[in-house]
Amino acid sequence: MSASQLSRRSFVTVAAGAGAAFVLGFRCFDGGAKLAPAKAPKATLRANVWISIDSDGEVTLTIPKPDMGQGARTVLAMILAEELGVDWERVKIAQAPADGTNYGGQGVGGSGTVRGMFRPLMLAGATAASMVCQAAAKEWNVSADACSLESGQVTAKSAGKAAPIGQFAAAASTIPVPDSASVTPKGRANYRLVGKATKRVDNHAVVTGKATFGLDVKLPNKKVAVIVRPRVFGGSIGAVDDAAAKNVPGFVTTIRVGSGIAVVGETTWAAMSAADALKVSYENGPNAASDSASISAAMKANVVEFPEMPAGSGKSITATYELPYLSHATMEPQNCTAVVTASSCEVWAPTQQPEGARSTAAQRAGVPVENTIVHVTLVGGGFGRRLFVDYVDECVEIAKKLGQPVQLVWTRTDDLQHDHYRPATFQAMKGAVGSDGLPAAMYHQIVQAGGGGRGRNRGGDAASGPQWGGAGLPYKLDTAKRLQTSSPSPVPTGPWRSVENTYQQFAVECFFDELCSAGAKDPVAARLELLKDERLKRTLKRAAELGDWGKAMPAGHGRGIACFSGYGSVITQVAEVDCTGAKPKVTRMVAVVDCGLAVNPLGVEAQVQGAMMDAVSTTLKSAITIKGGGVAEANFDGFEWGRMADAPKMVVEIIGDGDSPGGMGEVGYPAAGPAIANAIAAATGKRVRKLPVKMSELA
Amino acid sequence: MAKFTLSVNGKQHDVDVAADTPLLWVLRDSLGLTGAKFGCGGGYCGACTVLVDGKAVRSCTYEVSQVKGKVVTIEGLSAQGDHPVQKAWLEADVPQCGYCQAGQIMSAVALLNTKKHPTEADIDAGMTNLCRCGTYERIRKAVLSASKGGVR
Repeated sequence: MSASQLSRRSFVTVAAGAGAAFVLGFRCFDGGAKLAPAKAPKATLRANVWISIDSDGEVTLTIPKPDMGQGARTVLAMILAEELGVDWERVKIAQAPADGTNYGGQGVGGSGTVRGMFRPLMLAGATAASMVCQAAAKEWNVSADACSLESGQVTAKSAGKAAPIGQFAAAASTIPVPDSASVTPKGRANYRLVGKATKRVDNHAVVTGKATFGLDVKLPNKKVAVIVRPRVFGGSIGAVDDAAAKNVPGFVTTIRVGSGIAVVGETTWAAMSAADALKVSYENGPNAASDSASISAAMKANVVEFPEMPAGSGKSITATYELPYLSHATMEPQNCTAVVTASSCEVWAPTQQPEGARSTAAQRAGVPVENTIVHVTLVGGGFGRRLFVDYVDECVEIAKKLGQPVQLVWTRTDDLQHDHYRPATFQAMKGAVGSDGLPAAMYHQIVQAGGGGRGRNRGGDAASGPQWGGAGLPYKLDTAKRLQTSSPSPVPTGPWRSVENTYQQFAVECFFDELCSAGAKDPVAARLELLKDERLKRTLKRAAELGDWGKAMPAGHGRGIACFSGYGSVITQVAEVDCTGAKPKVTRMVAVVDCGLAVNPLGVEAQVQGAMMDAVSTTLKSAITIKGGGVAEANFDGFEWGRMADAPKMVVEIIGDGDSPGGMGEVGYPAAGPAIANAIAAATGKRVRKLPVKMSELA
Repeated sequence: MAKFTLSVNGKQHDVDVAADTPLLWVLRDSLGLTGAKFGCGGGYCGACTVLVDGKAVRSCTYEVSQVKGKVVTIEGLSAQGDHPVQKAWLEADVPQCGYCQAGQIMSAVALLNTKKHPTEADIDAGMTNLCRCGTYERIRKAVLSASKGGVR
């Protein structure tokens, strides 16, 4: 089929595929873009996926999005297999290289993968099924409507015909691509796979050690590089003495790169040992005096006077909450493998941003993007960190200067000390209860340390005065205002699972609880009175039931609740804590999430479990502290994270009776932390003012 | 450099590496066994966990010169991925990103080697590896399920 045969309105193209009889590439033009409600594509040509069916009946689904643990490779394949009508057990999954022209937006973030791809992939599968059925209909001399495709079998019941899908692979590739308007996905009443708890496609490879993450890439003659970097933000490297490094067995060379000195070895241990032996003098630059205390003071200095509480409101209260910087600390440290020649660049990277990795690599290598291949490996954790491709940039720089294949390995210290951190915040609240005792007003100041502002409102300047904006709360309050400003800090920041919601929802849901206390209202009853969203209310009611809300607890134990709406999903969480020991222990967490349609309930549950564990860690344990202008923590002894002994019992209930899926990667985090903090308040009578929680700092 | 003979997954291997090389890098770089992962290099996270004579060892801080016993990595745990602990992991759909899971599985095998039927407190004490995705709920389930299957 030639391109000229394609209708402009069609968003499907057919190509003769090498090694497969029938290859479909789906390109969303404007018509297709409308089908993706979450994010409208920016470019005109966007291909979302490839389906290939060979004459043996082998179906390969190529997944354009990286899998960083969110289950993209499983859930996107489920959607395709559902509409195509093939056996789940028999499909093969392939990972697309970075190629924005053919695969469209490949970045994974904003909980957008399933939301954005659901309808395009449904149509993609249905279109392929339609073409196979048409090919069968031709051969059997029946109408296409009489044919159906299920479990990889094409049948025409009326004619008593049945044959496996592969038999029509060649013929289907000569069928004109149906207009997207003429293809109807089967709809949820007919789903066989979507909505069914489905285990991950990579599980077997993972449990046998065969899965290939970035660090597992093997290349002949590959060298390994480690970068010696200044710890201090804005610091630089002065004199370098490599005499001792050169004596390390397996030492290859040192190369000065933008971020430090790359030490190259024959093996990882050689590179690490030589890097340790390298004597380097550092220029600390202008930030050497910056520390957590000075950053905190700068945030507090930004807080302005609150406006008067609305006329007629009752008791007013204030509160502050201080949250630290956080590292993403992905389990797999940043790494990249690259080969650069005069005319080409080939990269293997665990990335959340394949297209960004590709353009960055091409630019650094000085070769055209078309000559740059980025292979996307399995990604050992993302959480927003790997939306940045700094490590790809570094690796390509080293590979180009070295002229040999090289793998760049960040040590854990590199990873913790050179992240793009979840910003530290100081949040000041003032609010009032109404005559009925219910929360009536909430003013919310968010001061973010460095990194620029992100949120609905900016702070204004001295001339204009503070610019209070709407707070976007899910509650019917008479007044809800938010003021967002940023204070100076040298610490680079970036998105971290649920971005601004990581900190602002903590303050909102803790303070709502404090307002309930001030008005002597039950936090569940008050939320049911004031919540605007019926979906959210439903999760709240059910979570309160499942979480034994109102049931007596022993002294020193407490129960807290919080809710969140975002990314197309809504959630309520109930936490139970035991504060009888030296440190609080979260003993149980209940979550009820409404994600519209749960395409893979096992994946939805996993995302909520993981996000709740993040909240346990970041509420009770984890913080990045700044000393002498850089990060103090150098490994997991300093940057603590929750372990098995910290893990509460978890109950996750999914409400999935909608027709389209909401995002799940982030929704489980924002309310889980304040639920824990509210439980600590219930247990101790004292409020959490600072994270991570220390019993001595409760007030 | 120095020569060492190691027993890994039932086979003898001769390697010529610096004597202070951690077992992890011998496995990964010299023997090409990349199932054990690099997570921290300081023995804190356990992504590098392998068995030496049936006991869990954090191979990133275990120098090759210390290795006297038989090393088993995730690749050698079973021929087909059907060790009871691997089966329990599959059944409970434990992995998210998957990066720490080989280490978690090896830790679970070591735990079950000493406690055939661990209590939840035993699991809390014995399973100390870090999972950044937070799969602990399912790990706990998988360990309990494997123990009921009578893993030795």
